[in-house]
Amino acid sequence: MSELASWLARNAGIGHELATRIDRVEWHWARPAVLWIGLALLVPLGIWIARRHAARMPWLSRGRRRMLTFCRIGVLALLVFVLAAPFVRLEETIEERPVVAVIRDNSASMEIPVGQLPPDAVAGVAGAVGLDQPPPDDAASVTAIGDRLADWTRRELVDQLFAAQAETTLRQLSDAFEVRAYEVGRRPVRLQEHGGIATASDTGRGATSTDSGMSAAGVQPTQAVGLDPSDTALGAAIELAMDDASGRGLAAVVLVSDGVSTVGVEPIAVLRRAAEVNGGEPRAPVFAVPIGSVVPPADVAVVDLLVPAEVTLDDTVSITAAIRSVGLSGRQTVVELRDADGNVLESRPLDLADGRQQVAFSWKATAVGRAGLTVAVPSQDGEATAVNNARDMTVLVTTRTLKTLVVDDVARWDTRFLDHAIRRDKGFEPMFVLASAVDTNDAIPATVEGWAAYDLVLLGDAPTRLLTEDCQRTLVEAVEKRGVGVVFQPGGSHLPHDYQGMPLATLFPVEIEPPAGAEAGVIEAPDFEPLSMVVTARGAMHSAFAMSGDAAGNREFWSTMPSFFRAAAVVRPKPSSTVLAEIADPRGRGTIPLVIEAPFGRGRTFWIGTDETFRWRRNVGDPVFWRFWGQALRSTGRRDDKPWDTSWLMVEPAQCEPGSTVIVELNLVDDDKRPVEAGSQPVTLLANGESAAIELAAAERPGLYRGAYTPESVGRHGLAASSAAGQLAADLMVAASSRELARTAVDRGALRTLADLTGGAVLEPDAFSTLPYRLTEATVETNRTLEDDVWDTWPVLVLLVGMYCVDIGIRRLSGSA
Amino acid sequence: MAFLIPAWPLAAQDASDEQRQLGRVEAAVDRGLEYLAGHQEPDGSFPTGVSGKPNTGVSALCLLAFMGRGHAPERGPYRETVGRTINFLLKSRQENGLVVLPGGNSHGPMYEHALATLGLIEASGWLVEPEVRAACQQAIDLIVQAQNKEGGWRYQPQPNDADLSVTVMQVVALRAALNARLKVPTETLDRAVEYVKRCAKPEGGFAYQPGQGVKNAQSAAGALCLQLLGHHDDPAVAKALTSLQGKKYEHGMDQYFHYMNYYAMQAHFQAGEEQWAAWHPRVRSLLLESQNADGSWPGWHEEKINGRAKCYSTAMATMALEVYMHYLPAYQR
Repeated sequence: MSELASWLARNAGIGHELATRIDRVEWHWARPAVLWIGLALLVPLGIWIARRHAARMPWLSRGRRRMLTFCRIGVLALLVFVLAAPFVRLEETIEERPVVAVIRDNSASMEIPVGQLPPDAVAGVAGAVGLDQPPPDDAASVTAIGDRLADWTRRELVDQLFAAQAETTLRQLSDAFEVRAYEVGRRPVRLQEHGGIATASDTGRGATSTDSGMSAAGVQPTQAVGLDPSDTALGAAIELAMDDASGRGLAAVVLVSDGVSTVGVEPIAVLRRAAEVNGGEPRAPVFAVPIGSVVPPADVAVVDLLVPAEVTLDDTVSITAAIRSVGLSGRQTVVELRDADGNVLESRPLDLADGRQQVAFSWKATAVGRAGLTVAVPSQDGEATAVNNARDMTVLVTTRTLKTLVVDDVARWDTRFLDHAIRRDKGFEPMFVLASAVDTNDAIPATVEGWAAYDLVLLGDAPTRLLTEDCQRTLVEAVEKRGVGVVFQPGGSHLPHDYQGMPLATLFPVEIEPPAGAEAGVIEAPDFEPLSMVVTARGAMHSAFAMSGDAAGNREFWSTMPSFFRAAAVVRPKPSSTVLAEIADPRGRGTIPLVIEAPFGRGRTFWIGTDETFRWRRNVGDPVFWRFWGQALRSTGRRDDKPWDTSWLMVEPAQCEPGSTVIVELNLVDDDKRPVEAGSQPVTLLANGESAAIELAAAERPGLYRGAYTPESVGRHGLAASSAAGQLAADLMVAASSRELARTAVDRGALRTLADLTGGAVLEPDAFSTLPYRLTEATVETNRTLEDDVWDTWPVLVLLVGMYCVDIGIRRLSGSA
Repeated sequence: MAFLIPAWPLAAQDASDEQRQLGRVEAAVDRGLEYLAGHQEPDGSFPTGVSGKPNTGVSALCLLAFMGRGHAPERGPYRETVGRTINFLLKSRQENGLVVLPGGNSHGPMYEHALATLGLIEASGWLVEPEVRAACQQAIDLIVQAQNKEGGWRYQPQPNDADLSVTVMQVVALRAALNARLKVPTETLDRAVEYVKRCAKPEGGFAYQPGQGVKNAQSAAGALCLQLLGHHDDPAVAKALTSLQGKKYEHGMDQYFHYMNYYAMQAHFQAGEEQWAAWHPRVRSLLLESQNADGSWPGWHEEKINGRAKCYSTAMATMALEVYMHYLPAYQR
């Protein structure tokens, strides 16, 4: 009966939630007075209508007359019904248990052995994971159990901890709270999404578990399906748990981890943001359960490599490796540079010392193409893991040499450093012209052919005396029609404002501010509030800012470069430009584009809005400074491998990490070398035996198409497209990051900070059982009212229209008006 | 091995001891600069005991100390301090291009001239006025003319005698001039190399003048000279640095410790990672430990150059620590 009522209500247009609980809803009238007065009036009115019909339509049959009267009275009754506005109401009280979010770190670093626990901690941990607790005065037993625990991996320790606490701690938690379980690797996952509640497995380490408590808590001991352990996104996991509990009480976030977050938003930033939204109060206390010994496991790792992305054939470049070691101080080892075939190209002795050490190699590019190189340190006795002892890289070796003209007013500091660095790189043939050092502008090309003899022109703070209007006009033509690249680095004395309204300004990828007094052309920071560059999301993918395969890492790295005091005064990027980095306007007018690139005809332009990039040398010297400049110049210079009049397909950068977005560009021309114009073009993607299609949108010039692609798996990703000349192909190499195992020690400090920030606590495994007693079990009662109108439903409308139609039909049939 | 790259993307969270040390260096340099700024004279010069009059050499050292931390003219918190000193140097020029205030100098004007020339050349990277470049070129021309027949320089701007101590300062100025694309005859540089090599001793190290004994300060100066003149691989360089590294590093190791320390730090940096790693930690340790509470450094045996304020020793110590920052173009490797 109830189901029938529910069905009828649902079909009558009552809301789903009310219809399914129709037996609990109450009927109400919004205007009951209208109902009663209407009904009271309806009786005499009905009698009057019936009599009137009988008197005025005597020729009608009795049946038709009654039907007509019924319709008239029915329409009036419906009018009263609608005016009285009936509705249904459901009132209920909901009891909600607070949520406890349990986040389990299941990243690759959890495969590192637990390590030797302090003797006074062994008994407690052994008890917590279900092993027999050794008597405190039995040193031999303590040592034996300690050794046994030391061999477990961190993941096994968590498995056994959860298994042993299943019927006690976890059961208590799930009785009093709604426990939501998450696992975290490179991304957090809700365990329920992956078949969720699993049976606790016996890891063979001594404690056999039952599944009941684990199931109740929704915490599974094995890795979730699809979890990528190559990184740890602790911040994202906390964020997800908090988002899931929005609108609910969140009693605690329990973080079972080694504390090392390697990717994504910082956990502290998530907690601070949550507190801001929560009126300054922590959203929930974080209880951190550090997994692993306080004594860092012995380890040596190759944690960083600084290698140019592109070098010229026969060039010798410096490859710098950062080696991080702990617990191996005093040992002598060698660091090797190997080629793709495993041959040792160079080895350097290294006396290991705790902390980071740097080793530099010289490598000569002897063959064109992608050269695979590896920096490796031999595995050491007693090392926690050897997975991080080597790191691979690829270097693109080309025969490309950019003939480069550098024009400036004076030898600014940036120019002086650039002068040295560019001469060391065999990929450039530089020529410098300083206005202050020449009396005439003979050295500046005056014709298109003259400019086209260069692949790249770097215009510093060049005065118009040197760069006459004729010179500018021919340069613009050389860029547009001959593909010459131009890099601008304004200094504020001449460029850009002296060129406003002149031919050169058409090449600027930005709109510049009109001149206004002595400070025209530059934006100056207050003395104690210098300008800081922020790389945009697009900039993080651009080859100028390439540092590693991780776009987020690139963005973070370049956005922490030392601040500076002056930037070119620009208003906005031109429509076809791409802003790669920006600064906050010290005048409070939003942001100002700082590094911008744009296509211009067959060439490209690049804008570096500060002449203080020398500050990027701080504590480092050339590697970072030239890394940016070399890559920026190479990306702008005329490219023979990317001519406008042939079809090509390329992906930039050509190597990245999973989850990092790359840009795919396709240039299509027909047999007559005319651009193929369309709204979009498909590109086929082949990765791990599966194919998919990417749609590239038409870009800023005819024939050019561009799109983004984010690979999720490691390995070679092949891209292919069809052209009039045949099949085009490009490769993207996707390699996992090495961040995850770069640091093998448990970061108790980070976990402590998270706990302290939120009023939580750090609970060592032996104190895990105290967790339920630390949480507030405040069940939240919520009163909820649901209402829905009954009068504006389709049955009422059908009834009204039906009766009206019957009324009219009878009148027509009987010949009355 | 030295670790000089504290902020690679993957190392952002790794607060290593080396990074903390670099933080200490920056803080020490900043305190040193505060001390100097507080002792600047109204005319832009800095007090010294070299003579009763303002001294372009010590003032130029102070200017370089500010610029070595990235405090450029016309921008940032020390813009006025830096600007006043540049004006002082420009106003101190004599008709022949000598950047030395006329009259009264106890140590030889070519010391001052070379330092002032270096300061002006580095500052010229920020100043577009043609007269600045002209002043720099005139000062360089004077250095070229003052080179003696052996290829070295001496106290006075006449090509008579020579010593390595004065010569190193001229070489640094010439190297800065090349960076700034000023005109420097190749012959001048070639002859300077000849002179410096003549000061090298077979047992390792350099002498003040050919035929004399090895001195630590001259070993540092000689090695740096050859490096800046492009002779990085000359055996005399490695032998000089090895000779220095074999000595007990302390402020008593040379009568002119700050002078020696500054050039030794530069020379070890120029020599590459291994030499640098063998040298810089001891310099850093000594300078960080010996800084006075007011930000200055003691003059030790060079107190007489300091005079009533410790601007000379503070500028020298600050510049030695600024090698970590890689800001001054003249010293790029």
